[in-house]
Amino acid sequence: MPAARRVALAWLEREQVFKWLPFVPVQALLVFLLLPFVLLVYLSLVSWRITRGVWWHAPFVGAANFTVAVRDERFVWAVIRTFGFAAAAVPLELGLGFGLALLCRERFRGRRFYTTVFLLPMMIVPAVVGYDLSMLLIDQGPLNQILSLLAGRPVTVRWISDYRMAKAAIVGADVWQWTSLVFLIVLSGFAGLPPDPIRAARAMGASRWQIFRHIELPLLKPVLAIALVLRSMEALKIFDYPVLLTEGGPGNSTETIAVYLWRVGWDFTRVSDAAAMSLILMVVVVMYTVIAIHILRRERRQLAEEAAR
Amino acid sequence: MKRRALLATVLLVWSGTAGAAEVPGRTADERAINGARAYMKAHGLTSLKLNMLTSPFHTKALEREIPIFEKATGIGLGDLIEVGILQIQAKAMAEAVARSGSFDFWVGDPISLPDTAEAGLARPIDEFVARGLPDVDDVVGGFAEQGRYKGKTYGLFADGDNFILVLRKDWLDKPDERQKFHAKYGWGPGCPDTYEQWAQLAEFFTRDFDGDGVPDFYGAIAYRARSWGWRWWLQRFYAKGGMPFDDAMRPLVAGKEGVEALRDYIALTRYMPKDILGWATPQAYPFYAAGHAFSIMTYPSIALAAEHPEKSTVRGKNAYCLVPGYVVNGKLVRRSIQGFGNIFYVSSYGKHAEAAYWLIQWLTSKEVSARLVTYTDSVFDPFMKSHRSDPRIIRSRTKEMVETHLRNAQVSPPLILLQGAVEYDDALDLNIQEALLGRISAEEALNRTATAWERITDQVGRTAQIEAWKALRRAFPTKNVPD
Amino acid sequence: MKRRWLVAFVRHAALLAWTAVTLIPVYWMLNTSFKHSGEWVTWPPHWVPEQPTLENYAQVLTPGSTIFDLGRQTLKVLKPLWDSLFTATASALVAVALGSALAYSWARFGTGGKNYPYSVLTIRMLPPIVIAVPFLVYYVSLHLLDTYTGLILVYIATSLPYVIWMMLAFIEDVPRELESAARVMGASRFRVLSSVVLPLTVSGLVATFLFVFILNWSELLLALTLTNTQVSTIPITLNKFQSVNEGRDYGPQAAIGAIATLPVVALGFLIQKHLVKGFSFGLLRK
Repeated sequence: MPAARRVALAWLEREQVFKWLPFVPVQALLVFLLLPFVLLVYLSLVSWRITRGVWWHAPFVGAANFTVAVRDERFVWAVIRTFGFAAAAVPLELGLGFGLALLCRERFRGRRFYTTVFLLPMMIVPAVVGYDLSMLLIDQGPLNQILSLLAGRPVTVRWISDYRMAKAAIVGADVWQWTSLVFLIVLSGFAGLPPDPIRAARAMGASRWQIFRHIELPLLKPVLAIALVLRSMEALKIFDYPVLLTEGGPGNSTETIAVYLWRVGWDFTRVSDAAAMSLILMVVVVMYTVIAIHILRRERRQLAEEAAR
Repeated sequence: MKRRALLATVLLVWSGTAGAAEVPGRTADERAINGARAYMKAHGLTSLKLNMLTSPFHTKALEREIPIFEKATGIGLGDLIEVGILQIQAKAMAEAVARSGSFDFWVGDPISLPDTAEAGLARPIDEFVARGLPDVDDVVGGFAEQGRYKGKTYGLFADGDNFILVLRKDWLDKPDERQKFHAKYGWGPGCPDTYEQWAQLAEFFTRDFDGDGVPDFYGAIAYRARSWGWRWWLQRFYAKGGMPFDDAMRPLVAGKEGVEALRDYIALTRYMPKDILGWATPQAYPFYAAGHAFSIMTYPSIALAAEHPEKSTVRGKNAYCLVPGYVVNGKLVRRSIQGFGNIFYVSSYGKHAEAAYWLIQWLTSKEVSARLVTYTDSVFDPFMKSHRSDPRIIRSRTKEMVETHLRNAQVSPPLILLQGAVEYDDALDLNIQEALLGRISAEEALNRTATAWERITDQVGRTAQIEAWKALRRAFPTKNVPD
Repeated sequence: MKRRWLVAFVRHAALLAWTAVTLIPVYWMLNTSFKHSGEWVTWPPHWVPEQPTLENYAQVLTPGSTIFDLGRQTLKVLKPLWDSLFTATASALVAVALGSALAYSWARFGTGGKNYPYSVLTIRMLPPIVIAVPFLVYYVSLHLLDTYTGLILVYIATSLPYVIWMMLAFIEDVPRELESAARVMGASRFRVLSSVVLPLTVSGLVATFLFVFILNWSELLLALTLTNTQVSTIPITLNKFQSVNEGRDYGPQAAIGAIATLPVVALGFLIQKHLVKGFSFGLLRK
């Protein structure tokens, strides 16, 4: 047996085999999980509702579902709206996270306390955040109470029942929770700044502001790029907050694409329509991905160039 | 010899067919237990666990009752799949696709019946009904019809969720208030007959005690939240004599009745808290029970909150009224819509459909349903004639409420119980909210709803819908006002 | 001198402001968990429970009712806590192991092609709702519905992109010379991994584990679709908190929310010294 074992190990050691070792299970897993995707494409090309028998008997309709989906105003608005949420939430998270990390980068008294606190939000389950905020945001709830205290007069912002403010509430929930992730990433970025260029610049008499603007900021660009891509990817998928805080309302002001697809697929039982919409969404997301990849690639390339220098 | 053999054969055949006939028992619950025992014996089982899809709304009451059935028959609960009450439809549809048999029966609202029946999930139970004879006759009004679809029975009715109007009696009885009100409006004050009168009460009794411009005592509360508000509009629409569709399934909501009803619906929000668009039960019940509102129109379980010995500040101060209506062609028409409702259904994919049936027949019998209704944390409301005089129910809800509630049930129209109901309701709800927000006019909202409804009907299949709509008419009340 | 004092003042003011923003919802959750149902939604709100109670915690922590053997479900936290811990940990461990190995293989040998990390990122970009229905059908036929394996497999797949990205640059930071030196001295490839690469990338591994753990711990949609009773994670359990009179059982919800936060906070605390380094996505420089 030991001989066989040695032979086996030796075989595994060969570069050709070794390098594929992790790939085999991963690719197998991905292929395994790709099959439902094929089913998704199939469902989008037939006309099937859950109330209409079995899906393998459903009649073929080609691109009809796609035309319906593209003409569905509610779908188009859900997509636009979701991108809108991401466009509002992500820059806020980046800005706040960056600012907080900036304030926390050096040692000072209480720094440990602040960093610990700031990391809390991302550790709470989003569903909990949704419920929590639904208590805080009612007209006569704690948040309005605080605002009234600060403003000196009664303030009743209708967070959940006003068309525009509900959107703000959703964005606010996302920002509250995920600024802490950006904070962590940027903090790491600051910690990873190479000391030499900074020391050299300081020796040459550069001011703190100059060092920050001309040396540190450019060096932090890749970090911010990662945070941007990461957060925007996740922000496009929000489901928990709109469902738990507002049920997609009032009206459909907070109906994100995830909420609408859930409704169409399960509540309305129009699975084929949902499938077609999903594929259209994928196209949009892929276009977005290409841009994101381009950004990331550029940052990595720059990094590599600098490392070489 | 031959004659004895003949006699034996006759007896055998007769007993065989008698087995397929009615199950013995004087009451529905007795029959359910006997039927269940016979089933267990026929399958050689001593214990059987059934799985149920439900929401936490229902669990507490069922947790107390089902062990009793289990002790008598050996059939009890195994796994409970619990989801939020508005997610039961989604979960049921997932099972219709998955066909995994993960639950044997479930409790859902009438709205989901057409879809779950068409999807093959809800199992027709006529054969069991014929043998077990559940207490369907005792069910008030057209409720029992809501468990039927296209002529077949799929579910047993368990909860009369028709709306009731509650007023603060202590305010109504104040002599100077009575005088001022009567002087201003020329009637009562008291339980309103018409919506206009209710609006007058709301206007009169909205009070701002501290003069800060924000009312402290609101004249009226009704739900306006997403997924809920449309039911309150539909009730008004019915009271105006409106019907959602004509015989060819063309939507009639955008007609005069609909627009006027929507305008009134929007107008009443003037007397409600400013964020009423986010209000459903979690906000409305504690608000009323804390004494901040003069009136509330909502589900009958409000009585439990309003009369709660510990949590309510308005215990004993409530007047339970018939829902108001509109005057149509000179006659008053009241309609108390079945705002939600609970029905027990049997899954086609469970292994023991008949056993599940006996359990639900037992749960919906006169005696057991009375117990279910009595529990103060229960979601089940009175729905049988026998509930009217049941002392346990009266104790938890007050005699006045139970009587008024069951009278309201006589004029209870169903929600739109057709295939694609969730989609019809969602389109209606969405547009109503847009109108409430002031973004579009009432006519525009209902026109958009009608257009959306036409599209939905076409997508589902017009001929099928016409047939189903015709069958649904049977569930509508025939009286204008209760006796 | 004065300038420094001013800077410190402004810094603390800003940080305290955000601390307040962060802590108020957290405080409210804890606050609510100690209130009985009459105090959950009040006008005006109660900042401190007037009649504090432990009944919410008692309700969620006691394992199942005694009359009825419903040990699996209803509004209890022990099973969901276990289910969430198990699925999140298992999927995070496997994802980190596989993903790091993958990142290593790509970094050192270029396996999978130039674009592999980018194309694998697409997995993460899809909203899970998109594949909910097909997945349901798929899993039913494979008997993976409502199983730990089924859910863990999906979580592994959706976590891999992040693992690869977070570990990639860490691995690239390990000097190749070190590895070649070890190999010259006769170490097997596996030995190189465990003795050279692993110690140098430990911050990345640990931080990645935490991040992936958090993502899977919080995941609602796929769990809702692909499980019924056998598997029931914390986000699903939270969804059940509704009752007749209150509509939403805020108290027990808050109790579960508080309890559910503990493992994550504990994990973060354990690995805190690796956190800052670990989340840099390896965009560190020497």
